[in-house]
Amino acid sequence: MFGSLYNEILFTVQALLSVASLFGMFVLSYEAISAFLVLQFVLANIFVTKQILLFGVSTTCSEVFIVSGMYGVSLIRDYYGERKALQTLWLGFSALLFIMLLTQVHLLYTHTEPMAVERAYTAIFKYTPRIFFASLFAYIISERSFIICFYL
Amino acid sequence: MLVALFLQVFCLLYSELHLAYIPSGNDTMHGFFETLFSVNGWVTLSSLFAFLSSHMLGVMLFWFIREKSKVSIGVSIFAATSITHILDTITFRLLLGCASLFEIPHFSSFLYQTVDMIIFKSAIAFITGMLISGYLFLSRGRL
Repeated sequence: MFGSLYNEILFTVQALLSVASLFGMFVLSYEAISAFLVLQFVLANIFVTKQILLFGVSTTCSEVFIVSGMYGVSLIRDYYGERKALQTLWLGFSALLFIMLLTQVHLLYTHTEPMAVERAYTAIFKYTPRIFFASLFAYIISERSFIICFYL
Repeated sequence: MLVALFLQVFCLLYSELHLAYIPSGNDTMHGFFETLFSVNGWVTLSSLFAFLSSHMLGVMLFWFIREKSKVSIGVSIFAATSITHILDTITFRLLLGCASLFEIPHFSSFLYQTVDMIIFKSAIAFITGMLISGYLFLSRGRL
C-alpha cells in the first residue's frame, strides 16, 4: 500500500525521532542538547553522500538533521542566549574537524581487514575534508546573510 | 552516562534508518554504507555491554586498590586501567565471536589476536598511568 511512499514514511519517522530526541535532550540540560546537536552535525556530514528520492526530488538522507539542527539551535538561542548557540555551533565544527582528521589518519593505516571493508571506508571518508570545508563556508555565508537580512 | 547511552542508541537507530532508505538511481554510495553499517547493531550492543560491565568494575577496582593497598596513584591507575581494558577486550571479542562477525578459523589464532590486543592495551594503560601521575605530581602545589 505504502510501497511508493516508503522513503517518505521513513523520512517522517526519522523527523519525529529526531525532534522527540531533541526535545528530550532539551528538557534534560543545555549540555545534553548541545551534545545531541553536535552528534547530529557529525552524522549529517557523514551520511550526506547517500542520494535518495523524496517526493520525486533527488535529495540526501541528512535533510532531517538540517531541520532539527536549526530547530535545536533556535531553542538554545531563545533559552540560553546567543553566546551559547554560537558555542554549540563551533563545538559542532570542532567535532567535525576532529572526525575529519581522525578519518584521514584511519585511512592511512595499512589494513588487515577484508578489501571490501577497506574500500567502503575509503569511499565514505575520502570526502570528509571537502564536506568539512563546504559546511564551514556554507555556515559562514548563511550566518552573515542572516545577520544582513535581519538588520535590513 | 544516561546521555551517552542515549546518543549511542540514537546512532544505532539512525544508521539502521539510513540503510533502510531506498537509494535513488544515481546513488553510488549505498553499497559502501551497507558494508560498514550492516553489522553496526551487533558492534554497538557488544561494545555497550563490554564498556559498561568492564568500566563499572574498573571504578570499583580503582577504589579498592587505592583505599586498601595505599599504593601510589600511578600504580592504581595502571592496575585498574589494565584490568578494565583486558576485561573489555575479552568481553567484546567473545560477544563478536558469538555473533559470528569475525570468522574464527582456528581458536589459537583468535587467542593470539586477543593476547596481542591485551599487550597493546596494557602498554597504553601504562603510558596513561605515567602521564596522569606525572601531571598530578607536577600540579600538586596548585590543586
